[in-house]
Amino acid sequence: MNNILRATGPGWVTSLIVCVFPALAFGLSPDTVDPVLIMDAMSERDTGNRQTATMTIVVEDDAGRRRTRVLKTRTLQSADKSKTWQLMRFESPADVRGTTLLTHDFKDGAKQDDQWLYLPALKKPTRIASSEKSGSFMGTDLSYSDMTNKDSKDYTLAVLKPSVTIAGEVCWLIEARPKTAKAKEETGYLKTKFWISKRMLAPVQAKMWVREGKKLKYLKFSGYKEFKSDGKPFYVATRIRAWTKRNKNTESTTELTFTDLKFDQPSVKRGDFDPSRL
Amino acid sequence: MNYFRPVALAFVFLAVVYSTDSLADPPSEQPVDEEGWGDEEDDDEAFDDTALPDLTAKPMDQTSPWSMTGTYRSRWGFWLERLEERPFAKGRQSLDLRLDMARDMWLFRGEFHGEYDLAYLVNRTEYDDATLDAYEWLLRSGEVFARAKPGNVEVTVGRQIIAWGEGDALSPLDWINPRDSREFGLADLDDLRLPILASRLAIFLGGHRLELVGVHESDFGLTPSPRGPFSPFNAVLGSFEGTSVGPLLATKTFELTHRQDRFAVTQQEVFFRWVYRGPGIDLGVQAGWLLDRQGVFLFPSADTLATQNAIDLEVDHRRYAAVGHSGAWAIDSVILKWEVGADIDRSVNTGDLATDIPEGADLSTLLGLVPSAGVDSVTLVNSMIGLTWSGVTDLRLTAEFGKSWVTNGDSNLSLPLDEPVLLLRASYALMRQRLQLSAAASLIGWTVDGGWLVRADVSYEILDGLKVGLGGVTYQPGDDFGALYGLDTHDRIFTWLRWDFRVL
Repeated sequence: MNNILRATGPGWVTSLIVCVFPALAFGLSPDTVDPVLIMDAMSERDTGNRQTATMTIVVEDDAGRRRTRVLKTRTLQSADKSKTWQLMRFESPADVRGTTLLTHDFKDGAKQDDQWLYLPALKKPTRIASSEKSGSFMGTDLSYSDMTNKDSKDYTLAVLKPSVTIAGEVCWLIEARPKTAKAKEETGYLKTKFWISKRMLAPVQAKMWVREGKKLKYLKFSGYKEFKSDGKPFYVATRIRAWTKRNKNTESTTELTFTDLKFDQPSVKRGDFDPSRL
Repeated sequence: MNYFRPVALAFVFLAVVYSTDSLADPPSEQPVDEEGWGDEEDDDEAFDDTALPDLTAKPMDQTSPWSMTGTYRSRWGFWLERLEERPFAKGRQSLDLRLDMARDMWLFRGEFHGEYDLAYLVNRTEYDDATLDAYEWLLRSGEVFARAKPGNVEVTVGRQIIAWGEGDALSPLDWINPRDSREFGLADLDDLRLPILASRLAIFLGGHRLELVGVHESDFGLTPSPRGPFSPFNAVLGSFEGTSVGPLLATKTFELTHRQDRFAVTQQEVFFRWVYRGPGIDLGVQAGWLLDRQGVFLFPSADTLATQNAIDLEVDHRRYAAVGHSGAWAIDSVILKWEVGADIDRSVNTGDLATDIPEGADLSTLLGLVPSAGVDSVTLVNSMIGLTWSGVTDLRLTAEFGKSWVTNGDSNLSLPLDEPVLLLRASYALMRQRLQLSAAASLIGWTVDGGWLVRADVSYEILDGLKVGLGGVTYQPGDDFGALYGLDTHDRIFTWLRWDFRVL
């Protein structure tokens, strides 16, 4: 089970669900061509708080074998956003039901995240290492690194196209190349292209060049829903489709769907994330 | 000693692991090459996903407070060194069912476990009743409890499993639950701890947890029957074969009995624990006033052995006090775990049980050689240190080392409680974690002469919840009496199927 639930990175739900305020709310001009400004604005966006969701993951490999995982998640951010606490509990399938992963993520990259895994067979929580991020997230086409917020200082960024329309959204096309050893190791990518919606300040699609095996990975975000925080709208992608290709052949496909997505839930309390309660 | 098998298993494991891309070519070391990715014809502006399968999942109904899940397991084993006379080591079919009702602060749980071993239908007359009782059938309840969580308090009453300590496999501070130790090195993790009737109060204060546990049942677990395939006593009894009392002992039946009643007011046990889990480190301190799960053996007299056919090997589980400290510390890809504790005034058997019996020895010689064990009260200091490394994608390596010392009393223990134990485990996942390879080795004593075992497993997930596996284990017993004593012809291969399902 530890291989299924290896170390996650910080704040992955907030990154995946992509809660965003419109770009203009950040004072970011749609005409800007500064990639650092754009990427920083995207990672600094308000992502909502006290969140609960049900995540359904379906993975199919090239032989058509399908696996489904259902998880319930709870997420809380500290007031100064320096810490994110997250609880993931498997509901299905039956062999992993009850398995729970608790993550305490520190925004300060110098601090190591804390993670505990509760395995029903073991009947106790055990601390696990949180350092390995390039591996597959629960057997999906996404890696733990895909779920984490990135520091723009670790990447060489370039705006390849200042304006391109994808699925009706006017986007920036930005290329990110990891330049530090840490970023190279964590992502495992040669480079990534992001298509970022100017209206939502959120990725509409992304393409990654995976060094290991020279694979290509594609991500599509859809099903955006509008929520409000302090009267301001923000947008949430409730469906993420990812697939991996090698030599033009699709190796596997993943679909992540978020249902029962709720914010500002009073039932989400700090105590829920105490490892002593696992 | 046959070193070939474990060495071969280890090489197979390493060969598979090292033949994978992720280890052979670390991603960051590969040369950067902008060409040959197969996307020359890609239309970057419109990812073509029309040919991809529709993976839309049906939403789960999660409104009911009731849930019922189950596990069916079919496990088969074959003795490698007894293929001709008795090949079936195991044909165990088991069913586990769990019913939960969770509403607001309440959780009610009921579990059932049933198993039947088909291997005992073959050559049935060769097994004594105690062995059939221990291995053929087993019907028992699992956890059956009611739990309430009002605020920062949690109260659980009923049969439950309470796992303490930090060790994964070696955990001298895991005091509370009895174990299923019928088959050394073979029990599934799900079956290892057996539930016990207890009341548990937990108070949460941030990262701190205070626990008070009262155990109301004296259950000392499932042990090998004296004549059973995994009993070290069987080897002791076997050492009398070829002597003048050999034929006499062959007519006797032996059964383990416990001096303590299962339920008695005077046998209540009390445990306390404080645990802190915080940034980078977990710490715990615990204490207990308990009955010895292992107990001391009160061996029958020579007169009893000579005159009675059904002989009870009585075990006395005497009370002692214990204290302990545990911790875990995360350093990048490494988790360091430790436990240290003391069993104060714990009763132990002393003296040698394993004795070399000269073939054809007469009765008077034997009387001088009959294994004798006394009982002494000692203080045992127990320790464990463990390291887990997960620095390479999908690979996990663990080493745990345990050692105990007698600090007060007779140090000539009959059961080698103070022998060092080293456990090594490796697991590696392939095919997006559908295929798992694992290997484990256990070494008792400072050298291989103390006894060791090596086990290797492969498991494959066919469908959600449906897995199959294949593996092998080799035992190399030591010369001293202990868990591996007499396991000379116990190497086996095994295969299994596991189906986890949801009813409600």
